[in-house]
Amino acid sequence: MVRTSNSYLLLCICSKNLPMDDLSRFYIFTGKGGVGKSTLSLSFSKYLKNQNKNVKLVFFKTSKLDEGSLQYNVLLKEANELGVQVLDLDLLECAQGYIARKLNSKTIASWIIKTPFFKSLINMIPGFNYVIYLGQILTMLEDDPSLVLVLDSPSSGHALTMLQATTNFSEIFKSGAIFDDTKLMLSRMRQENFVKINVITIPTTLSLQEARELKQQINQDFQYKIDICCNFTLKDYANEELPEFLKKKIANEVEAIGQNQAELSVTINLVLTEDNTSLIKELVPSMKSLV
Amino acid sequence: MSQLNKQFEIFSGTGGVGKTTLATSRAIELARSGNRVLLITIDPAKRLKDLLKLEGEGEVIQVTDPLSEGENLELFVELMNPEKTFARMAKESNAEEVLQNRIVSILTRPYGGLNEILSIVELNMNYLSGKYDTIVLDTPPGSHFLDFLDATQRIQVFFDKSFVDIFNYLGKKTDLTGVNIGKKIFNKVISSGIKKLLSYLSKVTGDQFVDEFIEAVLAIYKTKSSFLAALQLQQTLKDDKYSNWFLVTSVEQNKLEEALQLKAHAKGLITNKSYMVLNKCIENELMKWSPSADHKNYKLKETLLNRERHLKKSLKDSFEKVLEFPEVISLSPLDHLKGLTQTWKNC
Repeated sequence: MVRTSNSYLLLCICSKNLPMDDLSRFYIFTGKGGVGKSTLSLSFSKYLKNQNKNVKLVFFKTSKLDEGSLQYNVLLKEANELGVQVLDLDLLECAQGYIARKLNSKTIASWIIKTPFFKSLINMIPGFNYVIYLGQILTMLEDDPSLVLVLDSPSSGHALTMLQATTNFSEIFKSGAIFDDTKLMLSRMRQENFVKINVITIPTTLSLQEARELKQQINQDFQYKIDICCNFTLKDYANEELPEFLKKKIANEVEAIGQNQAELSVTINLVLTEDNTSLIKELVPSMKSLV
Repeated sequence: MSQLNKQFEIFSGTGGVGKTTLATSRAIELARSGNRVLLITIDPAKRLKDLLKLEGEGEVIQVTDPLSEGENLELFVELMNPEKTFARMAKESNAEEVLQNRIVSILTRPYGGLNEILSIVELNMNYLSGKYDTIVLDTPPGSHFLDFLDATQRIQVFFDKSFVDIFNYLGKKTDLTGVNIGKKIFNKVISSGIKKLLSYLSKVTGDQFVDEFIEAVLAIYKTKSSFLAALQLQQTLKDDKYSNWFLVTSVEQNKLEEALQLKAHAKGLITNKSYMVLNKCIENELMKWSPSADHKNYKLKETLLNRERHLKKSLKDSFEKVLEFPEVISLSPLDHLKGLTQTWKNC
């Protein structure tokens, strides 16, 4: 939606963005908090970088948690050390850029986004954020055919709000520039080999169930390419000398995984290290399975 | 634990840490000690719904004790549904026609964007009904939870600022009979340039949207009494005479940082006095285990143990009251409820 060039023509979907190998262009990591989304999206970006891909890791600065948070800063630092490029999108900047291009005036755009009415519009309709962010992401992918974006998205509810936002908005806006653009965004998102969603979960029955429910909800409107990835598994550490409670914990885990086997694409072992950088590095080789 | 029992018991936390199961077990334990309890939950997994035999959404349902079939408890559960909440608000305001508005119905879908605001309203409506000793609220996870807290402020900004803007504009061209707008708002005439703003916006969003959005705003405005009533609830929620806040995290999901961030941002709500609940502790079990230092299991034990100890230490640095819940190692959600209910009882 938001063009980085000066043109304010609509997005062109008949683009030259051919898929590279079997890569998708836009990877969304989602799932409940604390399941390792950020770590995995970072390792995944590192994996693509090692393959000499033009990859960027995307954050939304939508939540107050992101700003100045230690976690966020630690991630930035890790990314920096690993040589992974990070793109943090700021909502109002994206919105202002979009309006400026539509109205062909930066002055009017900066005035509009400062009005209480506009802020309320964004606040009352959180999905609005995501249309703006997604527009920015799609435009960047359009402008640079070699670019691959990895999104470390907020917890599951939000990812769903994001994916449904485009559908909701083409229903909300029946005409006008945004309407045309959300239509284009939808068809863009639904191109083959364009979006890949990795739903991250942990090996408990409830979490696996929730991941499957999330997948179903996402798929209600359109069958995206989705993998469920179970993180922090202990099963490969099973041995005779473990104490009973751990044996039982692992047995439960194996059964929970077994019950969901049909829907579960990937499992990733708990890494026995406490240092973040070596954790991310150890995970890199297994990231092939999330492509 | 009954001495801790307050009018509101709010469970917030980082998602996927057993928050909903903890809130449910707390509600069961309070009901078992003779309280009339309402549990409001948002988006639980299907297995938990099955366990409580919850079918409909957006209605308060009395449930039997899931732990011991047939026991008579005054335990009520409501599965939050934004559409139904908004429909009730419209009915209370005698403005059911607003439900016909296309944009309103899109916005009040689950995930349509008004989830958090409407759950505050729902909480307040049930509180005002005066039917319950305690309302246990399971809030949306993670940053959703912050939206939940921000919701009341958003209501304020929306009704204060946007409406003044819009009515200044509308007052000149629309017949507002039937819309009950206070004189005060009309008198607050500010040259806000809203007309110009809307004409610019219509270039981007289309004319039809601008008109329909104004209609939607008017529709929401008609239900404003429920929103504004919900605003007053925030004061009560802040007061530890009336509210217990439980911030939940788990050993398995190291979300220490996120928990501390929640505390930092939930100003005045989550404080040192809030309960920090650490779920899925296995330290006691691990301590009974001594693999030899040259065995590969040694590293496993050390990793698991250090992870938990580090977490506990940091939590105790920030919270006066840390409740530890041992992990219930079972596949059955019923066992989890049982185990957690027992721990509440022993607290």
